[in-house]
Amino acid sequence: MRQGTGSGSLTGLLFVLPAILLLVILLYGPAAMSIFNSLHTLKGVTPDRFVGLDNYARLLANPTLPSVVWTTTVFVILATVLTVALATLIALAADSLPATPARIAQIGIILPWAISAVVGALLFRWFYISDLGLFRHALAALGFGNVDPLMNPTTAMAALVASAAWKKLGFAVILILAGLKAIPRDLYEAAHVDGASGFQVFRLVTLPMLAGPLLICTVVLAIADLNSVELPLVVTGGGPLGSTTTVALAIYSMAFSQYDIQGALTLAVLTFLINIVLVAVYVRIVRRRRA
Amino acid sequence: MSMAGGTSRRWVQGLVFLFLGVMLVLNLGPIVWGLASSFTPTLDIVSYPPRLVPSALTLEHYETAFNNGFLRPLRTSVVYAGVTVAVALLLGSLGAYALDRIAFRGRGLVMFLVLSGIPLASGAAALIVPTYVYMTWLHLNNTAVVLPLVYIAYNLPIVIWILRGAIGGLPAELDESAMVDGAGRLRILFQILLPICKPAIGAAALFAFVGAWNEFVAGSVLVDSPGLRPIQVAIYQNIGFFGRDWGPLLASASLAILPVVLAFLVFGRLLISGLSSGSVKG
Repeated sequence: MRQGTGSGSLTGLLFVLPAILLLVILLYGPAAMSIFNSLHTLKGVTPDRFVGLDNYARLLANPTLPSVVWTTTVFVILATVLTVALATLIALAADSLPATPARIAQIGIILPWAISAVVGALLFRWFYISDLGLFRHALAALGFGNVDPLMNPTTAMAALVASAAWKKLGFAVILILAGLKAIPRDLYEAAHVDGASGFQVFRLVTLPMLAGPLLICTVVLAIADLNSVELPLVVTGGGPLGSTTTVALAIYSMAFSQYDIQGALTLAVLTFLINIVLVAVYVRIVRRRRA
Repeated sequence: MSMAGGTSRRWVQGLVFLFLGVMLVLNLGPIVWGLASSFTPTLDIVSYPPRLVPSALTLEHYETAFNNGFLRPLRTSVVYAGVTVAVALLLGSLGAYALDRIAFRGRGLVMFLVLSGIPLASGAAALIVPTYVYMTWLHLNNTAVVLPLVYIAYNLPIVIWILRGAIGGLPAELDESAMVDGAGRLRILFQILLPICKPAIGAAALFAFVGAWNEFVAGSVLVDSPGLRPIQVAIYQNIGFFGRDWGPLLASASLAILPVVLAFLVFGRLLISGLSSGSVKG
């Protein structure tokens, strides 16, 4: 971190005060208050009576919870791994291109990330899932039969994972590509002089040097997938039979369709704790890389 | 290099191009096909097999979308996003300057709150019910200020992070010589440092704009009145309203992505550099 020019505790505080107040009141405030609220009964939206961990006990007794936890785990792991793996391949391919095609490929690949999740999910459905869409016609023409992937739990999960990978791919590519560009070229030359094969160079030079960006990418994607409401809501609606209801969608519909604010709040606090672990990992990596 | 090496190299190059081409088609297919279908007559949309070239071009779906009141949420979101960009840039540049240039007590903590805020703000699912309860408790639900406030808070961390990186790249001599000339800190920031960081300001503004424009979850629960409803919520409601009538649905979706797609085609390089410089948001 740069040394400040001149000291001035009061001035510094005054400069950051508006921003920090906003963050504390609007971002950290709700989070802190929800932990307090989850230990009380709610009367409307105000905490009423202290009940200790009763709300958590009620939530853990909820028969749908194991299925939600399992679905979320499968979805987050598959979506994150698929995205990072595909993005690494694309970044390696784009890295070998001349500057102009590489830039066109980057802008083309990042567009799905830039558009909103609701519209992205809608367009994904129109192209890949709808019986009127191009993808199913192409599959049918190739002899795969025209089946609705949303009728079957396995294919519905595959569709949800694919939609998440499609939506986030460009983000991961840009990050990994920046990591590739930061690898000193003489490392490659040294490896070639030592007679390393193409794959050996990748395993012994590229991959270790890329560990930081890959890790940041994985953590950010995991947070995003864990918290994505729009994709399950619009792509699969959580079905069939709840087989694609992730914890994010469960919280959302528990609160705003079933009006179980207390249950949703408690589940949100648990999800929030997972977020905190992921955020802590993220902050550690970013700080170490900046240091 | 031997003949065999040259041929295999060309093969590899060909495979690389093929792979990237397939990926681009799979990646852009939904966006391009969605845009194209929004100008296609309904008869073509429902035809089997699908027509790659439409029989005619039409604006009927856009008319239908506008006749169903799509202009209002569009306008609302322009205001929300505009306010978010303006306030986030103002508060963000003040904060970024102090974090980089002034040694003050608590700087480490402030830095931590900002940095954690970047991934935290994308944790919408875990935050939305707490935020809903909190805002209802503050009697801010369904008011004109609630969504701008939330959007500013969500996007402020990334804006501070980008601007701090840019200011940090400027030599301290700039400040010092201005200080000798008697300039105060605010003048140094707004008249000397910020004008040099235009690309970073552009990137930060773009992030804040896209963040506010694309937000759905908070928008869907914190406001209720039609006049306060942002565009993404309107599109989600259109899904239920138009059902299998894809034409108007795709027309409203196309309108919603138009500003973002244009911004990316024009300022794509800014964004990519903003992303690459370690400012990270999923």
